Amino acid sequence: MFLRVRGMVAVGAASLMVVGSAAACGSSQAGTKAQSFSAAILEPSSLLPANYSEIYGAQVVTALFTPLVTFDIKTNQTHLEVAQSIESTDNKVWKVKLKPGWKFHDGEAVTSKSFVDAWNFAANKKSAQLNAYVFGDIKGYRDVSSGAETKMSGLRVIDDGNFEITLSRPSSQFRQLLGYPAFSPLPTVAYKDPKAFEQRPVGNGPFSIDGAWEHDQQIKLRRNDSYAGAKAKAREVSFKIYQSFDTAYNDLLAGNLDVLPAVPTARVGEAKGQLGDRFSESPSGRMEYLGFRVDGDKFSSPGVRKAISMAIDRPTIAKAIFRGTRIPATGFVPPVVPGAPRDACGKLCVHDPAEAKAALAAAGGIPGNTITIGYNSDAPENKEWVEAAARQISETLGVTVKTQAYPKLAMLLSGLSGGKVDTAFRTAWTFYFPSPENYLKPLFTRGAGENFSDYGNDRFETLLREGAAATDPQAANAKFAQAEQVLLNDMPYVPLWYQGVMVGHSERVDQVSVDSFRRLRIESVVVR
Amino acid sequence: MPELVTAPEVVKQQTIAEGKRRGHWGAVWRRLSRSPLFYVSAVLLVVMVGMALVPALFAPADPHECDLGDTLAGAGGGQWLGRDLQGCDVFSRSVYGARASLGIGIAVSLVTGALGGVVGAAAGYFGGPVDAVLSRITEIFLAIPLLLGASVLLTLFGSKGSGALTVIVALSVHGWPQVARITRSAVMETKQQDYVLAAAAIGCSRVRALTRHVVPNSLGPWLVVVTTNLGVFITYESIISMLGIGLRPPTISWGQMIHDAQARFLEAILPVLGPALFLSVTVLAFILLGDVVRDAIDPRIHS
Amino acid sequence: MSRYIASRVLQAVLVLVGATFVIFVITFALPGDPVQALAGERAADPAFAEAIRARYHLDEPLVQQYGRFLFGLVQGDLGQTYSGQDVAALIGQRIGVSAQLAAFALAFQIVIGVSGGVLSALRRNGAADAGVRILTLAGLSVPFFVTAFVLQLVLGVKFGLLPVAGVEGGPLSYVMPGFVLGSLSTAYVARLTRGQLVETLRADYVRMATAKGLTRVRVVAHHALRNSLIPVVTFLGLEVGALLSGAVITESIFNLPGMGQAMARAVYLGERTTLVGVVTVFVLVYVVANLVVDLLYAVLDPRIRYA
Repeated sequence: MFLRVRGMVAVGAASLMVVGSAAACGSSQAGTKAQSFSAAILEPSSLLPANYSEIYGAQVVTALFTPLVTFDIKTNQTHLEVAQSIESTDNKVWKVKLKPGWKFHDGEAVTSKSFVDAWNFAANKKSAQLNAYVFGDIKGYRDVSSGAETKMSGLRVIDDGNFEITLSRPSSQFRQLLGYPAFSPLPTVAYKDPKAFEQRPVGNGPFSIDGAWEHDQQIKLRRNDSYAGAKAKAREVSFKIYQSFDTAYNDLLAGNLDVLPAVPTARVGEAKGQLGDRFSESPSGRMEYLGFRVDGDKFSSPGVRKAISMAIDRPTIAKAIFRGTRIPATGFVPPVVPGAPRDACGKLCVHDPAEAKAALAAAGGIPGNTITIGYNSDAPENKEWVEAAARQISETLGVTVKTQAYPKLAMLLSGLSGGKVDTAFRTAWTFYFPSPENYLKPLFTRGAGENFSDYGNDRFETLLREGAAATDPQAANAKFAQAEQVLLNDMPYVPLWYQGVMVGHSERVDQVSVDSFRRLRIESVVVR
Repeated sequence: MPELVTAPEVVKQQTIAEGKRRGHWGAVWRRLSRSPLFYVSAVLLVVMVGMALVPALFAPADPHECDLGDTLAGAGGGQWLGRDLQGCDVFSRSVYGARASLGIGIAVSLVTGALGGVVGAAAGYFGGPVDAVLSRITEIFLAIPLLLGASVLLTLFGSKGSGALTVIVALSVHGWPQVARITRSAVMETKQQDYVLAAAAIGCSRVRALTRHVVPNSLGPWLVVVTTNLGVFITYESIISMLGIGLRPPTISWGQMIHDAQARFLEAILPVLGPALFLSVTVLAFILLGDVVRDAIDPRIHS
Repeated sequence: MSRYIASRVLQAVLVLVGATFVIFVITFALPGDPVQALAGERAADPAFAEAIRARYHLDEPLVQQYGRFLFGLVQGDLGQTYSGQDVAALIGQRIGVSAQLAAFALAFQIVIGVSGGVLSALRRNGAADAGVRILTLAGLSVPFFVTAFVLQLVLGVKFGLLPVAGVEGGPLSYVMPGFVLGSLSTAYVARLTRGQLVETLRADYVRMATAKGLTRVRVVAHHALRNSLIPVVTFLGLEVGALLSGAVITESIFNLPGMGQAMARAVYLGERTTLVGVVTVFVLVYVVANLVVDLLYAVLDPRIRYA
């Protein structure tokens, strides 16, 4: 009890400080504190919808902006949000009709132009937006991204409430893609001074920004009371920016933080005891792999890669190192994705020393009998599981397995895309939109941005194209399932596990949930 | 050793009677050999160096034989300090960690001590333009953050071998300016002392005055900093290695063991305490050695 | 004296130019492509890479970029970070945090280190000496990231005495990180003070003072300590710079948005503009601190003179 009171005092004091600083800027009303909560993030790379590179940017962007569609938190089914309807007969020409009544935080109405201009801006080379590539399927993207044009020819405004998108090739999953935050609308004020806009974005989302982005300290949001969708429960949210979630976890224990949407893996063991029912786990769309350069000397044989897959004891690592927060993978598409086949991988993803040895022998062994696994050491759990997996592979297959830490992912990636590295490597993928296609196409088709294995298979790509052209969702998913089987047979990556999200929260808040994108649904959080 | 405090004059008489340099160092040795702390530190060092050289003699198990099923198991069943996250024996790993940690600590202390000592002594003793040039170079190196310097070394050296050389170079480049500044200050102070001025007055050459009088008499602060640095460098290794720039498995180090285990210390404290204990003993041995040697040198003998 | 200071200021300009040039060369050798670091988990799009390179002049040769930096520096413009913040503004925001942290750490070192050193010198090889030695040992052999973690859990979480992290708690926010940061170097201060004082207490003039009948406190405070302080002051001068620049991990554990963290992120992202701007500040701090220390030598020991 004593502890609790202390904690409350601390929260009170912290809130007073916040009120004090806000009052100095003259932007806060008294008496709203009871309706506000704080959530932990790391410093976002950007707050522009098409320019962030990590989930913290996504977290803030989705609070400030609402795209045409969103996804159900439980089923991941597509739900129309700003769009009234999105129709296509050939998966190529898409007609979008907007709902009336949507407004930006500054009062400007959300119209067809808000979307079309935003997408043209994002795709433009001059804007240097990181996520510009997601517009790649829209006709005319190449001309805009090269700087030759400023408008994609595939985008046509019909009137304020209707516009038309023409793709350069059919895409059955385009409706889902429109839920990616990069497809959010922008108000006209954004183009006047994009740099200033990024520090203080104006969107159409359930929350508006309160003040400017306070780098490395906090981003304060206020509920958008004229939001056209389902209004948020809490009146104010403060995203506290941490440098490490270990610290954030201690802050949560001390009562200075309300929601931590990513309890560090190393603290999960204690968290279950310390937080009780204030700790929860939910599945996500993120999965982790062991990847290979399929054109190198060591891993060119699918047999070698399959042998490695069967040499890894996924459940033991998941239990000892991840404390059950990662689920051993049974295919290339996590079960949270609608239409994901069950247990696609079968015995290839199950630890079986005898089968593994036999597969390696049949493949003629590994040149030099030595392999190296590279990983980026900026996430602490990478070292832990890579070391464990290396030991298992070494013991099962009788090969020497070295590990190589890279200070940052960028180094590993540039080594890989340069083709200079013939090591196995740790890699992970989170979907942009919940569709099996999104786990196959970006990672394993020739020339794709995330194809670090340099894998290519004609049959696989044909199946994907057929899936993209199929107008019936079931038929499309059937094609994707076939493509997944082709992939499993080649195993350019070894699927390891599906990542869970571990959320902890204080006693002040309730209804804390995290979606498959690992984003806290801040609009549903209730402050007690 | 209290008699030294109460009767320095006697020692002084003896020293002079016994003759010049040899007599001085002879006296130092005699005082050392009378200090119990000297033997404590010597024994500790011998044990630690022994572990570094032949770890198999001290370790009950193979440090690389691990069982993930026994992750974070407590002490018992032959594991005196329990098992770490990977299910490896903490005690055996700590024993095997001595080689890298002690090696890096000693190597970096020696390199920084020598480089910093020479630069600092030259700057402090010669002063003027020599001091200006050396001190400004020192300042440039001071301002380069360790993180930045270490990252660059990774590109220069690549990722071959155990990584020990990268760590030693990175920490040495980072560490020498501090030793240089401290040595310079001690030398500047000493060279103003009467006996040094006297030596110059009777025609002693400057280099001779530096090596014969100034250096031995400014050794104190140098010794303190160099022996204290050793423990710090052992810890710093883990920071560099954590970034993927330093030591690579299967090389084991105390710093990395502590670092890897600290986040889970509420669950299992032995994987942190074990290597920390080895580190403490080593640091203690060097601190004691530094203190007793420093007390034994007693530069006022000359004054 | 004033001539000496003037010459040192002139030298400082050379150091600044030299150090920033070294940093420039180093940033060119940093591993990993900065554009790829921005792109996160996917390979950077060629169009995006090209646009970013053009925007931050990354495609220019080293000398041209360095010239651009110097030109901006003279005008007080340090360029922009990759997330669009002015580097000068970023430094302005952070230097206060770092300065407060350094002040707390330095205060711990001076108070605990010097008094511990004096105590152990006066009672050499006695209980106090052993006690200080054990504390020194603890400071050195428990890695500071472990100390930080334990203190957070005990003082912050369990007893709620001090803020766990962040700067919202005002000066109180700096007590724990200041202690953690200072604890390591306190060992140096205590040991340097002890060693110097033991030596000085045996010097003729100190024994003379004692013989003249001055009290021991007076002898230690006025004569012995003052003359023992030169290496200690030198060390503390170095600490000013080290604490401002090298507090990367402490800042991260306590979530303090300081200079060390800005530097670490810039290294991580390969952000040349930020890195050079931040290091420029480090150089200035070191140069000024060392100059002040050198001038203090003459105050502490009048025999030291600067021509």
